[in-house]
Parts: sequence; structure tokens; C-alpha cells
Amino acid sequence: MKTISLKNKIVAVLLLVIAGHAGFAFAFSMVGSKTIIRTTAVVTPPPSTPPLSSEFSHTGQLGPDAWVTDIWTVDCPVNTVRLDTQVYDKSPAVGPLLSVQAINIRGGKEPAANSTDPGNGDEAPSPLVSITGSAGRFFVLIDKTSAGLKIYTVNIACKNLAGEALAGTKATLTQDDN
Amino acid sequence: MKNTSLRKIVVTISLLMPVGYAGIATAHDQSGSLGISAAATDMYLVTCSDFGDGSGTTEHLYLQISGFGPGLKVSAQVFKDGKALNSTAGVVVGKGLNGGDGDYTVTVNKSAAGNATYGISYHCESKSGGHTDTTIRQLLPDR
Repeated sequence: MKTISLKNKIVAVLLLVIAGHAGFAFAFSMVGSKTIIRTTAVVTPPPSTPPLSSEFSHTGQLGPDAWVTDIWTVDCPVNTVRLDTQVYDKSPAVGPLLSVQAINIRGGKEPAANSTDPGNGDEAPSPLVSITGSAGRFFVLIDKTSAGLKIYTVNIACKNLAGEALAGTKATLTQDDN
Repeated sequence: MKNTSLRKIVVTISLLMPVGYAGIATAHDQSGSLGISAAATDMYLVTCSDFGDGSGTTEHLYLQISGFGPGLKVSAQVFKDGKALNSTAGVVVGKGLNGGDGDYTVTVNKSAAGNATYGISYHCESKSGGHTDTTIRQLLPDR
């Protein structure tokens, strides 16, 4: 009788232990499910270029003449491998198209590029363009296709090999054609 | 007889004058094309200098651009020593960039994606409007 009782206890303990493990196993499988969910979320591609912080954004204005051009003189710090830029046309809907050019007169593989904002007064910027170049001086020009006042915001960032915007980017408006 | 000779001289000069102008125009014209990418940019270096013949030094570079492409506008920018101006095909600028003798960087681009062709006419000029020595070389074919 005592032996049977002992056997029952052992069986009960074994069952509880198994149930306990099953519980852990279930818990782990839940963790696994969460991992799968996270993996699914990653399937949505992140933006290729994260928005730049305000220290890389600059505002300006172009006067009415068709030929006017603003010049931003940019000094890039060490570890720079490229300069990225794009422009937002903040002007009313009707008017000339606004463009930005990045130029590296020191030379390089791709030392000049253009980007034009196809829409006036909306929130969408022109395409982001890059030119290659090391630490040192670049120029960013802002101009338009015909006569008319323009208000703009331009993003300018020196970037390293990892594509990170470098805090040492220094952009100065050296020709202000407003 | 005298009149016939005079006529011949006048006709000869008339025929030679356009040839001379064509020569000058060809020397200061540059044509090119831009690829499909909206970022495509051609880059030139125009060098202005004194002929040394007493005609004077350069005051400015004058540039005019013409260009074609489907649904786009072709523009050029002239840049030297921290100064720049823009010229768009079909828009009369009537203004040169005052940069004196030296190297002017000229970039040519367009407002949207699509193939484009263009021609630029460029002249280094003195204060009196006379031509000074003008040379050009391409730095960057479009991508």
C-alpha cells in the first residue's frame, strides 16, 4: 500500500515536471512567434535615406531675375566620402522649377550632379543626389528655370562611408541672390 | 570694266565675311547630350585670358544655352571665384559673369529625367565687348 502510494507520488511529480517543461516550451514558442512577427515587420524596407536633422537644413530665397543663383559653400570634415543634397521648393504653386547642383571643383569620380524639385509649394523635395569627394570644399548652387521669386529649403550633408551625416558639415551662404 | 572689278571685290568680301564669322562661331560653340538620369550633369572648364595684342583683359564670360528634351528644360551654370549665374534654354539672360581672366566652371543639366541635347555659345569678353582668348575643355561627361 505504501509502495503504491509512493509510486503514485512519483508519477504525479513526473507528470507535473513534464507539464512544467511543456509550459516552458510553450513560452519559448511564444517568444519564437514574437521573433517571427518582428521579422515580418522588417520586411517593410526602411527609408534608404533617413531624414536629416535640422542642422543640415538651410533656408533661402531667390530674387525675381531668371539668372539669379545662390551659392552655399560647404566645408566637409575628415571621413567625408560624399556630399548629399536635395531642395524643397517652398514657393506658391505657379512659377519656375527650382534646382540644386552639387559641384566638387577639386575633381573626383562623379564631381557634379543636379536635382530639380518637380512640384512647387508641396512637401515633397527634389530627389536626393550625391557627388563623391573627400574632406574639403564643395559648392552647392540653387537656381531656377525662369523669372520669379523663390523660397526654398536645402538639405546639405557631408557623409562618411557608412552613409552617416557628419556633424562637422559647415554650409555657408556665400552668394545670396535674393 | 572698273565697275566689274569693284563688283567682284564686293562679292568676294561678302562671301568671305560669313565664312569668317562661321569660324568664330564654331570656335565658341560646344554641343553635347545628357543621359536619361535626372541628375546627369556635364561639366566644362572655360579659360579666359589676354591675347596680349592690346585688346585687353577679360571682364566677363558670356554664355547662352539652347537645348531640347521631352518635357524638360536644359540649363547651364557659370561659376568662378564664389560667383555664379544660371542660364536656361529659351530664356534670354543678357548678362555675363564678371570674373576676369582665369578658369570658369560651366555645368549643364536638365529639369527632369530623359535624354537631352544642347548647345552652348560662350565668349570671353573685355570691358569694351571685344573677344579675349577663349578655350574650353570638358571635365565630366554626363553619367
